[in-house]
Amino acid sequence: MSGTGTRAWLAAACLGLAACSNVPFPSDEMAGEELPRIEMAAVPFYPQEAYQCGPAALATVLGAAGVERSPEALRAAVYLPGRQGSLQVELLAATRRAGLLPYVLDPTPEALLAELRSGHPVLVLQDLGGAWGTRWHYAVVIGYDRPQGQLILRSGVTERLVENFASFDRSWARAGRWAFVALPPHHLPASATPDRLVAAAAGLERVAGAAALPAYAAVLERWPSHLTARLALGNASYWRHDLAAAEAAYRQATIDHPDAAEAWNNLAQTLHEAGRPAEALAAAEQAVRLGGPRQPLHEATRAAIAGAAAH
Amino acid sequence: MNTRISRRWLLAALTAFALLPLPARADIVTTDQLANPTAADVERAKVKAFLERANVVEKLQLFGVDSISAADRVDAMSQEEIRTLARNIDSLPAGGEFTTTEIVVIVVLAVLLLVLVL
Repeated sequence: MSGTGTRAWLAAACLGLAACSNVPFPSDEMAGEELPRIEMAAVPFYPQEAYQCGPAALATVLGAAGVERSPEALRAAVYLPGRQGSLQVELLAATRRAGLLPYVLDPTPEALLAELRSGHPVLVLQDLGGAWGTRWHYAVVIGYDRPQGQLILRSGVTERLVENFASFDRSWARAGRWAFVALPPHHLPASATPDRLVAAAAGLERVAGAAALPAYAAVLERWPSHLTARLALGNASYWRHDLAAAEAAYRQATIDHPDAAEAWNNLAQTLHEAGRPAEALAAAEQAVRLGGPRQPLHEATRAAIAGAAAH
Repeated sequence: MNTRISRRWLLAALTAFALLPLPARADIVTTDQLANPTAADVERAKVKAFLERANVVEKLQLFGVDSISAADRVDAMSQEEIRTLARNIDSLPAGGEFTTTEIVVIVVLAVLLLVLVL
């Protein structure tokens, strides 16, 4: 209970400081076309208990993405008793366990606003400590009011915290402007870049398996010739022994990127297993010709195919 | 006598064999390798990853997580995330932290403020 009281005092102190300086609301380049106000009122609210802002904020973004988890259930996955809090990495890991794609945003106000505009609530880390030292806190931004220069958050025990952008940004900047969105794999973040998206999808695939595949497909929809996304889909087909689908994906990759040795190597191995030694050997030789950091693997593939053909 | 010598030879041969690097195996390039282009030396990276993982599981246990949960929690992390925790789990932000000394300081300041205002 005393935590709640001090939090209120802290918030009041922050607002008081904020009134002195005036950081403008960021990025006016899109002001003409965008909505002046956005609030995702349907985002659930879980008032946090002592030290439990991590599980509460995580439950909020998971719930908004359609995965219902109570803060109590998430506590076992993200709370660290010895630190009386939750680590950023563990929030990302627990998001994967829930079958959702965690994507860490570029540390800019523009990326934050782009996600809000697309209807994605954003989990943020703040340092509310100010002059008294650090106090790390997780909250979820659910909207903004551009004319007023304000953000709207689910934070701690406050269901609808309206915060001046300047004061929010000060606490957010002290935490490295760290923020992430948790989305169903087929639903891409608005501010994402393809390479980091594919890396995020690969992280999800390791934990959630085939549930991650729609993320690669969505990347290819937006960036049709993305090499790693194409190979990732090929690999998924290969592992479930759908050699025809794997071949199609790898072949497309060699058409889009004729210099990609990995694509030729994987195509060679697939053709080899499909019982087409001549085509397999040609592809393996192309991989070896192109070389690159995985040359030992390409050479081994060629040797295996050539050896099998000799018998 | 004879069998003992041959046994010794067998042991030596086995040891030598175990120390030899495994020949590269024909395979596809996996998605993990593609998404993490820094780990070029796959075998060495695997050993390092194994050690880092064990290190982080142990640290989570030190911070009060039971051993089964700790292993499960680490398994949902990427190798890069595990590396980050292995290096500085003690100093990374833990959201929700609020120590009693901080509370005391803040309450005292708040009371002072109140007294000054009134």
